[in-house]
Amino acid sequence: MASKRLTDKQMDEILDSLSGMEKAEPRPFFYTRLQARMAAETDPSPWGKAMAILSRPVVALATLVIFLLVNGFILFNKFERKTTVPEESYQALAMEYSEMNSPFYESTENR
Amino acid sequence: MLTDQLLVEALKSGDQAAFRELVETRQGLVYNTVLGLVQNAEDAEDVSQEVFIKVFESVKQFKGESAFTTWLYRVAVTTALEFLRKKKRKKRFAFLTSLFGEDQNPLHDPPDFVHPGVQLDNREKAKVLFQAINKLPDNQRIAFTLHKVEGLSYQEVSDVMATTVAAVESLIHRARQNLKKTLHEYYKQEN
Repeated sequence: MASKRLTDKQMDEILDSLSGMEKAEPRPFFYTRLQARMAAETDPSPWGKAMAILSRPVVALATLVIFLLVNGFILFNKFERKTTVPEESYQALAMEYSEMNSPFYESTENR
Repeated sequence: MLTDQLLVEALKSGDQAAFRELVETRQGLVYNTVLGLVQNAEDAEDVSQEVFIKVFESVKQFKGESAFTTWLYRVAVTTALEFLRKKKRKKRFAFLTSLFGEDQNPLHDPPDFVHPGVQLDNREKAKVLFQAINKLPDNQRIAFTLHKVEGLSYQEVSDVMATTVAAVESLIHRARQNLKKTLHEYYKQEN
């Protein structure tokens, strides 16, 4: 194996290294562990079920994105409301102004 | 011991004793096949359990078009490949999942898997061979593993893979060629 290139014989030895191998067996009590898993999967507690769903990265990421979007929306609306003056206040100001500057003399002249 | 036909009928009717017999008589077959593909003892145990759960849940869909053992091999191979794909995806998103602390298990297997059934004087060579098998395309990997690790004949491999014997011969031939290339590269880097 120390040579720079494998010889055909060495290559065949590696490729045939699995011949004559024995089959692997699982650890003892495989059926018991399988039964325990099946029981756990068919009847999980509702809290555990909910936590399992929430702890999924996709769900957690989606929740974070929704949270950030809602936050952004609320902040954006708040700033917008501060900077814009409502239409009614313009009208009220305009009416008040026109009353203050009402041409009193003009009106008497016209009579 | 029940014949395959009786076993399937009992399983279809939800007989727990039949399920127990199925697990106890075929656990070696399933575990050995899965271990050859996933190359990790703990993962092989989990995937083998999943195989039996799938069999329990979907045995009603088994129509007897192939032998029951062939069908069982198919479920084992498919489940093992699904597991490997999921693991590969997990590796890609390892950074994100680590942020959520979802799984603290190492995603990268130590590269020194040796099948426990390999003879002692072949262990070093088999270790390198298993690393090279990992790099084969899925079809070649399945054919080579079923033939070499599980000891199935070309005919049996072709039944499991639902293909012809000639196709299996070709897959195994190409697998050997690819393994030779990978091994040459490996030893070039080693030196």
